[in-house]
Amino acid sequence: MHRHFEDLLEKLRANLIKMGSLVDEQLETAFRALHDGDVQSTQKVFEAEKKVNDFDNLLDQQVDEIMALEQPVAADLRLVLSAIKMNHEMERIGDVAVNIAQRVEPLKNYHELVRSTAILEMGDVARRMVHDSLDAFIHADAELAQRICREDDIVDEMNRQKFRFVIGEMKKNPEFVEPGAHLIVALKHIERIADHATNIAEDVVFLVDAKVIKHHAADKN
Amino acid sequence: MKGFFYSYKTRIALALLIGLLIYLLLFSMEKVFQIEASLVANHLLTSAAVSAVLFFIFEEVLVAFRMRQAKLLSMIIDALQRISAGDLSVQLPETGAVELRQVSRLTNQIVGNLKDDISKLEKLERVRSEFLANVSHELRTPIFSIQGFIETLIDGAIDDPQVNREFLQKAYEHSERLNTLLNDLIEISRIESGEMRMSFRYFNISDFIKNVAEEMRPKAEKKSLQVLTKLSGDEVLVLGDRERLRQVLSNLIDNSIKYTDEGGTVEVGFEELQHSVRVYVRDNGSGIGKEHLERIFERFYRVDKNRSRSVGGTGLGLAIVKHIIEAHNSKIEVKSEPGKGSEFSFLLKK
Repeated sequence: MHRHFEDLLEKLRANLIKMGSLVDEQLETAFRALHDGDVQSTQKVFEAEKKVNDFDNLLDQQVDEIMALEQPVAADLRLVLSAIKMNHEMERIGDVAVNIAQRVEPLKNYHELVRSTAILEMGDVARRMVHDSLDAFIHADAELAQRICREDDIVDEMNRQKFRFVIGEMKKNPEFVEPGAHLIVALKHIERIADHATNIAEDVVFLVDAKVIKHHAADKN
Repeated sequence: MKGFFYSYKTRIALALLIGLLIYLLLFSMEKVFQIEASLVANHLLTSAAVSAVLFFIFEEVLVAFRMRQAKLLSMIIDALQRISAGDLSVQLPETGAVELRQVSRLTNQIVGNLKDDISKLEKLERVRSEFLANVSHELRTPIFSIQGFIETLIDGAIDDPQVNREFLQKAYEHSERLNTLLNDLIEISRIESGEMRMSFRYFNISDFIKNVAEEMRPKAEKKSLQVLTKLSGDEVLVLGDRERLRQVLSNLIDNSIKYTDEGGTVEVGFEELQHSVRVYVRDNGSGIGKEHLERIFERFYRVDKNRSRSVGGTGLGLAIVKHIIEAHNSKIEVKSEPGKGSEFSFLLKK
């Protein structure tokens, strides 16, 4: 019985990592496609989305099974609770990757505007946050997770700067109104990626240290 | 125990006291119970004599025992003093009372552990100084070459169109080698200090092997070598740090290319096991002698020094490979036969 429970938790962990690996790759492909204006490779992002959704359902089922049959406690319970939240965050990151991939087509002829906005520089920070949050989960590294939470402010600031820049470009040149609108949407998406990565990092701190740090809860205590 | 070792005066006093008590006992028996006193006295005297003899023997045995324990204790103290002075040749006999036996056994164990630790430290120190000597030697070789070429150019060769470009090209190649060596050194120190965090992800092993093999193919074709891949059509996911494993596989394929003669083959593939996947790189090259197999993963160890230099290795490649595979909780295996070829393999979790 005990062995069976451990197997269930191990499978849950493995599936979380599998889902995270897919999402990580999805983001990498979406950003590379945006950088290269490569519409063809966005297909991979759309295909991966189906797999991410399948993992979403599978993880939900696993969590239901563990909760109903095993009634986990302490660290095991924290893993299951974190799995519910992480699953949700990763599914959302997958959706955002798809949204970014959808911007590749309308922006492919405005390479210079994309380059000068340096949207990929912001994308790199957000992607690294997702990458590191997965590493923090895999290595149970609460310190790394705390660091990720602090990086969210950098992305927020980048978003504000780049938003002003794109608006400026749109005002200067009416031709940039349409691609500019797409860029603003993409910027918002990237900012959301950083938020999701922060949420995963907060879940890791809860999982490892049994501490709630979201909405600065730790400071209030 | 102390009660058995009173002085003679006390013993005489005790004997008189016991005698008085016996007299009182006899007196009361005769008066109170009307028992023939001489009969009882006879009995008591015999018992007293036997008890006295037994008491004496018991006391002597205890004295002997106590002296032996005291001797053992002084041996232990002597041994501990010698150990604290740095003498580790001490070996205590594990005899005597249970507690003393335990102390002796633990002391012997501590001495044994200390000896092991010291020999490990000595080995580490030896490896460290050998490593430093090797690093200095490996760094010096390209630096001297670069200096030589530049010096010749300064001395006039720069105006000689026959050689100036060639010398600059060679100096550049040596600086590249120096750069590769330094990169490898930084890499190995980062891995060893635990500074390098592995990013474990699930990925398709077939796609991965295919990509790395394709990257290495041009290099193999330059030597007219064939790179074969043995892969599965199904998606098999493994857990590992893709970038680090790319480094491992490239390194192993690169070695196979270096040590396989023209017309040979290098095969890269994987076998699916129950809970893992075995990735291998196999060649029909020169192979490695049995005496070298255990040492090839050491930093700067070279099977054939002249040949290694001519093919351009830094001597750190396999050490890095070993570290990366160990960081995956796995182990690198090697099978080789001189003249027939080698096979390097490792397991990855599914």
